[in-house]
Amino acid sequence: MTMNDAAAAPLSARDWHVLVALSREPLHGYAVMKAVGEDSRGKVTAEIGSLYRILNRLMEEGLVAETDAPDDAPEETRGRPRRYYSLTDSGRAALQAESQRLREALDLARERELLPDPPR
Amino acid sequence: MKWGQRGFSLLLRLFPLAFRARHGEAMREAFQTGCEERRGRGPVSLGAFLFRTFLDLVVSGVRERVASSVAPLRPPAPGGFRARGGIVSLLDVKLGIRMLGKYPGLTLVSTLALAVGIPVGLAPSHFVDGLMAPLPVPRGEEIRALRLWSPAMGRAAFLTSYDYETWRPALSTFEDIAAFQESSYNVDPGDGSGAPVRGASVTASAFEILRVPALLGRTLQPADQAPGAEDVTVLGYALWQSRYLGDPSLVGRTIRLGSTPHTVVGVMPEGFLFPKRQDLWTPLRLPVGHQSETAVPVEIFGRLARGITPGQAEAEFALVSRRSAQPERDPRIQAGVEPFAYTLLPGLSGGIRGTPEFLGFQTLAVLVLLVACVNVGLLIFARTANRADEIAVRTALGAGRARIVAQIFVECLVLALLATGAGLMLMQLVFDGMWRFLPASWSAALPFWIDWKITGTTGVHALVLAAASAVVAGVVPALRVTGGPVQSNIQRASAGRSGVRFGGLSSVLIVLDVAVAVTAVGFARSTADAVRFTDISDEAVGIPATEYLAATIRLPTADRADSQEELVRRLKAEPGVRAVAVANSLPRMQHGTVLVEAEGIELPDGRTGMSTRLARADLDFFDELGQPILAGRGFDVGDLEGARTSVMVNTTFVERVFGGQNAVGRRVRFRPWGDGEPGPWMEIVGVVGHLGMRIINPDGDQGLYLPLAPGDMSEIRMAIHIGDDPTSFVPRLRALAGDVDPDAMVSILGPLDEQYEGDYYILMAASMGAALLVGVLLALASSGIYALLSHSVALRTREIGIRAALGADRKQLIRSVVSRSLSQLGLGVLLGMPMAALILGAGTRTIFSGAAGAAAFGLAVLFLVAGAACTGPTLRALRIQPTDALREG
Repeated sequence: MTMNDAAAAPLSARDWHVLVALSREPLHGYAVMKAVGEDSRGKVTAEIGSLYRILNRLMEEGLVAETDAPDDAPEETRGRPRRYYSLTDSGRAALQAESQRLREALDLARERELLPDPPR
Repeated sequence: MKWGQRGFSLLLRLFPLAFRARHGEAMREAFQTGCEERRGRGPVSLGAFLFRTFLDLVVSGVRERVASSVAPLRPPAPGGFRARGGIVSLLDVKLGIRMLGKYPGLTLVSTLALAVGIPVGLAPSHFVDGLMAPLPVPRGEEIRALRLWSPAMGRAAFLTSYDYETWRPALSTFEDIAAFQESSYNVDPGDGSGAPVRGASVTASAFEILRVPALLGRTLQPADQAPGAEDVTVLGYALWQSRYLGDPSLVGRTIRLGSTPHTVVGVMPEGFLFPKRQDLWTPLRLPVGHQSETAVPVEIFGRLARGITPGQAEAEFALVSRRSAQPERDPRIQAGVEPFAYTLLPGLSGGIRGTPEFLGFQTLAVLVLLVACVNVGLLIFARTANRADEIAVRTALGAGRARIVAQIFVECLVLALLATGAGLMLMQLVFDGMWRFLPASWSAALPFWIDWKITGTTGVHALVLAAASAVVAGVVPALRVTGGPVQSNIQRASAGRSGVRFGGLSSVLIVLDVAVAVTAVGFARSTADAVRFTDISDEAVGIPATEYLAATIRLPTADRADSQEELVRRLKAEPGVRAVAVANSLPRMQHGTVLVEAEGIELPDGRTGMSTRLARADLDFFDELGQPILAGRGFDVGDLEGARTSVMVNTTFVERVFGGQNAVGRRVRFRPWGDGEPGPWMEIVGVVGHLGMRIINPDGDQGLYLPLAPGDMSEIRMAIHIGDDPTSFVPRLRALAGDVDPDAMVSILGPLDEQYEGDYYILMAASMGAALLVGVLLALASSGIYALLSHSVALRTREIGIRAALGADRKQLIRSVVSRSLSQLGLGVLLGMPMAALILGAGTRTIFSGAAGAAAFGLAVLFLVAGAACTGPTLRALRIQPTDALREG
């Protein structure tokens, strides 16, 4: 799969949440896990095994990359440096494309009166 | 939380290595952070986190492994594991799993058949792998035995300390080599508390090569080997625990080995039992001066130098051993650098796997698997034929033949994998349970490295067999079912019937199944009878065996004649001891076999002698056992003088050799098994009854006794008549033996009625194996009959319905349904009965005298099973409604 394919393909809920979690700043694995749970209000969870499978796949598809720790991050934990992950350009494009799709889906649902209009 | 981290690390291993290498550290780090955070929130939060994490690790790990293993096969497709255009897809796997539930009977029978067939196919190889496992020491696979193979003797040549000292400096492909001698020691004798301990004299280099440090104190060092050095010993963990209650202050103290004091310098860790099952080590003191004449026999092993292959080491060893060969050694001798486990075997230059016996077993085992596969194939064939309409429709929709065959193959593979899992568990149970059936003396003698746990290699072999089974059981029927033209398949499907018929081959297979099952039932019944017979043979032996204590006494010293006499005298003087019989082999035990020729008796077929059991018996042996002399006289002192030409025989011998006529005064002599001169003539002086020289087959226990004088043999057996609970006398026996000779070694065998000759265990194994085989074959035969019947009922739905509508009698309908199967069954039985009679009658003669009865028993069992197999399809046929049948047309 090319990066463009990956960017164009629909994303699963978990993938989308992982990418959203990384959209603001690079995070280490556990922080991603927490962010996914909090952002989705507990509706989407990714335990360690599942999370790293997703990260591994997203890295293979070029949507996520390992990155240097942010300047304000603690240097190491228990003698081991933490690994941080960040969105690549393709990852950001895929996230935007999927978000756009979700918005269109949402609009359609509202149009069909399946959902109330958002409060103004 | 160490256990939590350990658990996490353990489960992490479920992920593929490459994945772990990339993310393992980060995952551990995330786990640690999670634990620390949850710990602050209390134990419930932490417990929930651990539970969720561990469960997720298992699921994710397995999914990642599956995904990575199929990744090379799958074409790039979005959304994970999909191969819509490929031959095999995840959908096939799901379908295969659904099929397991949809046809539970077939799943059960097929799984059982393959769950037995696959382990049987694996068993010979697994057995040898376990037997030949590397030593359980660091890098055990580098430990190799150095052996010289003598083609003339057909076995390994004896090695000596001279060889060891010559080769050690010359071999550069080994880190080092060591020598050892096995031995037995009487540890702190005389207190009546212990049996002889198996030990070994080893060179100090042995411990360095094995790289196992002492648990307490030290191992042996080169200085301990020097002549005149202090006598020291290193104890094994089990001995240290059992005899010295794990006392840590034992190191540095003195214990006696026989009559010689030795200082304990160390204790080895639990499980270290080098070289075979030894529990004590002393320094091997090499003879002074490097001379072949004074050399002592040893076995030699070494550790391969880093990066050296066994082949390279063998090449150098061949060169070195040839260069240093002693003149008397056979020049054709070949050098071998073999796995250490080969020290078990007297010969075998090509290893166990090269022997015809192994190949024979392996072939038989694969044949059983093949029979299982073929029968499962029949079931799959029947199921696939019933799905002909589905297959025809799929063909019409564009599925190629390869696609459909692949689908059926995957369905079969799912079944085979399920069976493999069950089979491996079964195999582990059998190998674990096997120890319980082995006599204690055998299991105590088995080398410590033997490891019959299911290993990764076994798993891989099992998967290969599972795949092969799926090919035989799935692909072949699938090819046959999909063989017709598409158009005719669609027409058949539209007509509501498969129209695919079993060929003649399936009928032949069922007939053969039945025949083999009848034979196997007969065989199992006969072996069971033989085993049962041994239980009641006390009466046949004629000795109250439960009241006798059997023991082996070893008297290693030169004046053992006096010691033996003294020990017997003291035993007889003991209150409660009623009798003491001495021989080299006691009733019910293994006896040696010799060829005996009787003067004036011609044997048929040019045979020179008759196979006869032999025992050497003390002069009072028969008196002490309360056995009357039936003719002639017993042994007396005069029989021990001169050339010793007196023998006694038992009544079986008289019957079989002299036709029951008076044997006293007749002459017999030993004949060699091969070419060679016969022994001198000996005169029969007396006749006794038969005393269990061959309890498995009393009709074939023709036996001969030679007189045994005290001191003739260093190892004798005693049957001591105590009365109830003979083992209560054990401590007293040990104390008396230790008192008479501190070097005496007493091995308690137990009550005489618990002694069996070796054939008994072979018979037990054969009996259990046969019972297992019978179960498998009966299941296979009945499943084959079931499949055939089900299929024929499915094919004849319309005909049966119409006949029922026209008022056909139910009995007639039943007869028409089962007649074909019954005729196959009958034919199978007809074939099986003579096969059973032939095998049971000719091969085993007297033991299996009830061959016909056993085969009849087999027949009855088989009819019951076949009847049960017929019931389901027949009832189904009777339930067919005429309206349904007519609507199908």
